[in-house]
Amino acid sequence: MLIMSRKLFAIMIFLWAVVQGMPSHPHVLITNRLTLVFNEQGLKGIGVSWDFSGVFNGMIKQNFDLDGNGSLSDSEVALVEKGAFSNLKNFNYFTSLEVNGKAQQFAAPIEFHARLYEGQVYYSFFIPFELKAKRRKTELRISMKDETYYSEIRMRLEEPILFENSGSYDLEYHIARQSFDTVDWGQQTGDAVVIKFKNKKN
Amino acid sequence: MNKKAIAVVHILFLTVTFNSPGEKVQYEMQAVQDMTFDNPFLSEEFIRSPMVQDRDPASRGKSKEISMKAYNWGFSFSPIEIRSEDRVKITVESTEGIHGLFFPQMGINTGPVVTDEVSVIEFVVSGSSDIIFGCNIPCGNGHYSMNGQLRVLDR
Repeated sequence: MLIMSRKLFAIMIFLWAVVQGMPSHPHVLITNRLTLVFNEQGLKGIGVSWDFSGVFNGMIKQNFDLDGNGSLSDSEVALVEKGAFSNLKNFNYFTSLEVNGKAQQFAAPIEFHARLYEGQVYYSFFIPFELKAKRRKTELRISMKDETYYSEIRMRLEEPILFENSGSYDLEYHIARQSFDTVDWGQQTGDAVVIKFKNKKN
Repeated sequence: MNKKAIAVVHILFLTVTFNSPGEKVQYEMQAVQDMTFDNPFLSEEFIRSPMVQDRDPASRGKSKEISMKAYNWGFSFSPIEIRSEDRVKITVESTEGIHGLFFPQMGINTGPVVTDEVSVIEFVVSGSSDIIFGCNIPCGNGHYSMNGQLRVLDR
């Protein structure tokens, strides 16, 4: 019995030390929804909606809700865009795009908007990215990941992907788990969305 | 499991789950500071610039001036109590070491204050809240224990 209690004591101390030393990243959890917008030629671009968790909401509220009314005015949204969004250009807005397996460049997001409602912060923006539809399927892979691992981005569970003006196209999609390397936190996993589309047969 | 092991488990549980008030503030300060530093969302300009809210002085509350000393490792004045809409002017003097006065939740700071020099920070806060302040200049072993509270009370 005495030997058992010493073993148990050692296990408890080890577990306690592990808990104390657990890493504090990520700091922000982002729930992501994508809206793929089409036109007569094919894909026009990608609408992105982010819901933020916890302390990030408090930080935005304290620093950008200048009149303290619990919501963001147009001028306050402009400050958010400048102070707490534009810097993401240095991180490619946490987005990478591949078409048929080839990495793609894309223009800076437009139509940024931030909303503060009941203490929760929401960002939305549009990534212009034109992709012509063909008779054969085109595969678009959208990965959203923060390689600093400051944030963790996960697809929303309900309706993670929406489509606009997509009636002229055959569409299919799935969400894949992917591994990626972070700067200081080793390999992590995130979500990638794979969409295949082509012109509908007449 | 004998009584000794049960007692140890209970003590460990209490140690992990219940911190002293000082440790709780320190943890909160680290959490909020972490939200500002190394945050890919925040621009360099935003992090470095002190923010002074520019509003019509006629709509302000009273002015409150505070002299704060920073030293290794602490601040001489905490908690600071003000009323919502008061215009606060804090003159920070370092009597020992290089420090800064930093309000991470408000994104304002004095910048580095060298020993025997002063820096001034002014701001207005609306709405009642408890705001943490600390030192934003790595100043040694006691850096994270340099913290305090700004209490904003309703008018």
